[in-house]
Amino acid sequence: MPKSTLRAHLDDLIARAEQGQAVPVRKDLRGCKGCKEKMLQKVRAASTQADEDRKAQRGLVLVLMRARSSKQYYRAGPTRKIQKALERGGYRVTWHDLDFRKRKHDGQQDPKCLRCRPAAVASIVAELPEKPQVIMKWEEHGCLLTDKNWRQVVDWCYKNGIVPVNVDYGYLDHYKTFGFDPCRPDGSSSVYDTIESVSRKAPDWPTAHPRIGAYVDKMETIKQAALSQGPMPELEGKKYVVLWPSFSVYLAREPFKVAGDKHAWAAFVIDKIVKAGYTPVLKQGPIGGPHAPPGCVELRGRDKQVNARVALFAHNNIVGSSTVTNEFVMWGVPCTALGRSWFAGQDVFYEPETWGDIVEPAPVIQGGRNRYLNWWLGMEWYPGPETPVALDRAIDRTYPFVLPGAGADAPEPAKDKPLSRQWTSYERLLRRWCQKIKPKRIFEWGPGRSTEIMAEECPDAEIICVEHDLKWHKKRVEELAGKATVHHQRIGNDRYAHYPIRKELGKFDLVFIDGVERCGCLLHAPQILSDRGVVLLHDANRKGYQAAMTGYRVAEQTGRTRALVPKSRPVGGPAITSSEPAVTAICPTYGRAGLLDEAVSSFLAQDYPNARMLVLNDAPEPISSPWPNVEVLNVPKPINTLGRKLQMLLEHVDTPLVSRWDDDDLYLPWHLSEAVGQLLEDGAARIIINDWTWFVDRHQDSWISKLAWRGWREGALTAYTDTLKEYGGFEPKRRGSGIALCRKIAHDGLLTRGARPKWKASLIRRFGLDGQRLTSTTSSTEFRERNTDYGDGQLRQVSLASYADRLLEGAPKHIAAGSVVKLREALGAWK
Amino acid sequence: MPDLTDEKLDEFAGVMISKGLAPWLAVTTKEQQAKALALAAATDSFNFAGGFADPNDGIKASARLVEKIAAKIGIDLDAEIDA
Repeated sequence: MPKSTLRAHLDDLIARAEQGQAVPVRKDLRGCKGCKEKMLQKVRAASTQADEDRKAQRGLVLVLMRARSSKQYYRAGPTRKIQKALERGGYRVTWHDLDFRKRKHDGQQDPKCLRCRPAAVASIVAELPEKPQVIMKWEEHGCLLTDKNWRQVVDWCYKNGIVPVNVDYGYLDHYKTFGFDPCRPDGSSSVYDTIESVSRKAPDWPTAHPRIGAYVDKMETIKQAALSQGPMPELEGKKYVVLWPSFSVYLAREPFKVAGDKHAWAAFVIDKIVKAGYTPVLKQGPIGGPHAPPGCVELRGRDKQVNARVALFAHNNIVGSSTVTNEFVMWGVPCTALGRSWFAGQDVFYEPETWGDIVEPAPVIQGGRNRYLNWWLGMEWYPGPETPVALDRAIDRTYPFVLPGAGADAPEPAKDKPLSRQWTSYERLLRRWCQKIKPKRIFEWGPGRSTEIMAEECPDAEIICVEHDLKWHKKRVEELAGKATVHHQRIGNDRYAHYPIRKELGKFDLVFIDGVERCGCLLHAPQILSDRGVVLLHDANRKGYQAAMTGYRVAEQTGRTRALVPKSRPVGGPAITSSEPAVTAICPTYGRAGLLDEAVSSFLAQDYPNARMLVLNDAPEPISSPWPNVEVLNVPKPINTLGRKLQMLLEHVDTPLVSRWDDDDLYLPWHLSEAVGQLLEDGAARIIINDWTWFVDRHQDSWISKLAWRGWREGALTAYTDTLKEYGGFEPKRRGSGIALCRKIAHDGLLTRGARPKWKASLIRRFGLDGQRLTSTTSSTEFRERNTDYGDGQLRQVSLASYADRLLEGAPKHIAAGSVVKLREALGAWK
Repeated sequence: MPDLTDEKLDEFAGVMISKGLAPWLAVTTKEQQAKALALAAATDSFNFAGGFADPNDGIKASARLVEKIAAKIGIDLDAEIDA
């Protein structure tokens, strides 16, 4: 094939235009119809082929119906709809009841119906003709309700290479949209990962979906009609606050949970409304609900017109969960939410923290509400053109986490093998800390399975336990013979918690609290801890233990178990005294060769002499570095989360200081010297973040135009390496792992933000430089699809002069002229 | 005729890239991108020609715009592509 260049093409085109011959001979002047048609055909063929390939890969879906009310109600329309949609997409579907314990007619246990337990699910799977690809929990508000039993099932699914997915019945029933959300390994739904990446701009209604226009019009008509009709007759002239209570009992969040049933809960909320001086109104759906206390106006039904008349004229609306969420957002009515739902923490509704704040309305935050609507519009609509893409997406997002060998290669579930007992959250944490600190002496309040784990992990350690229950003590003595010494001590008069001190058992490197009187144990534990000792507390989320934990800081938390270190112990180690300690800049990267070259060049231009860079590349193409102070770790397999990559890098750091270096950002020449200087000057601080950042607005061209305060920029952190490690390092999260770590450290007063003049801000955030939202993709798969610039495997130093010009251009708008002069001088290294 | 100065075209190219209005950039390699840009200029994908009294001026502007886009996304104008 003959070769040419783009320049030759363009020159030829211009030359022909000069001669008046370049005009395409088509009427629409927008491309040859034949070429376009050919290209379209190719694209269609490729997409059809891809679709067929996908269909062929789709397997069996096991839907577990976890019904809380009438089975018939749940078996109605939506169930058939989802079955049809899945089957059309090539999935085979099979159903099974779970947790539907009582038969209606005689109240007896249904022998065919199993409880939500891994063993039960395994027995269902064992009877199926093939191993299911997906196990789907079908439950109203299923994405929000995650209990211990379901977490165990999710854990089992992950271990057996099956994708666990929550499906939300409510959204399909009420709004005709599919809500498939893969479960995270801890059993919770991943729904919030999606919402966080959605735009806060007002939705583009007309282009969103043909049905949406009609829906929006309908809502607007209802609103206008309600406004012209005025409030409901029984509420006319009254200043009232409405409680929309559905599902509140299950979904109320702390501190709005109330002991008792739904009637007690509603009565409690209504009491608050009455005390604030408003008329309480209880607006119920058509099926049941709490009783209205005396003096409360009760309205029932699902008529949207009535809903609008009630909500629009109310002083405030209080909701439990996602009841009438979409309508409220569209009508723009004030709303206070007391429960968990899709909108939790998303600025959709006002979410107060105390009972005292529930009655008065808060201003409507339109950005949050827009985001919620955008997220909802992004969901797949029933019946949809090609369902179920949403499920495919959910599976894609989960597969990288499913272990081992998910999909077709996954091993068949073992029918005879006993199920693993690693369901409990403390096990992982316990094993990790045993491996981490290698304890010589271990003390445990409440021996059991945990003692066996510790004996397994630390065979040479001396393990001493104390148990209060005599029967259990006898049993454990037999079972743990040769592994641990089990003492018995009855409870009362603090004897149990004080046992190791009274008996002078000495100091321990690891203390595990899993017995009774845990508050007392927490209070005495520091006295038996060695200098490097750690306390592990099981069920640390229980309310009663919180006060006893104030003397500790949390080194790590997994599920309900926390690793605690006494606050009295000095943290962060001794301050560094040398004037120019070594710093390692850690830079995780994937498929951004062009950007990485610039980031590395900005590192090479640093004026700090004692620095090295460590790049972690998990793209398929390896990278090499020509400079001795820039080292690259090439990992052949992609690592799923940024947090994991950062943690891997942190573990490789052997210098006293560490600094983050984002591969898509630029750092001005004084970044390291300023950060290290400030950190050493402070003395007490162990981590520094400068809040001010040069910022590329993604809605503008790629000019550096803003010097903005955008909260903590974790990309600009420099810290003591030991301190980061001591606080548990980076959590394996896709985003925000650095911030989470900073918060923990800041809580102990070890964070400083420096006191530099604004113009000395040294991080240039390049958000969406190439027109794509690089930093906020919805999944790691999407991230990998978007970042495919692997370069030629060699790091290069490139000129940053153009950025210096842009910086100086943008600067005068925001900072004083004198500072611009200083900035110009300081930017010499880039010019 | 619209006044398309160099600065204006440069700004236009930036907007096209930053707002994702350049779908042909979705292809992966630089060579493919260069080919797609050549095709875009030749077929007036930007629909410039219709906005000029003389459509040939539109084509010229289109070619200049492609140069700007290529510079911004780091495509070497002199690299070889299949004709």
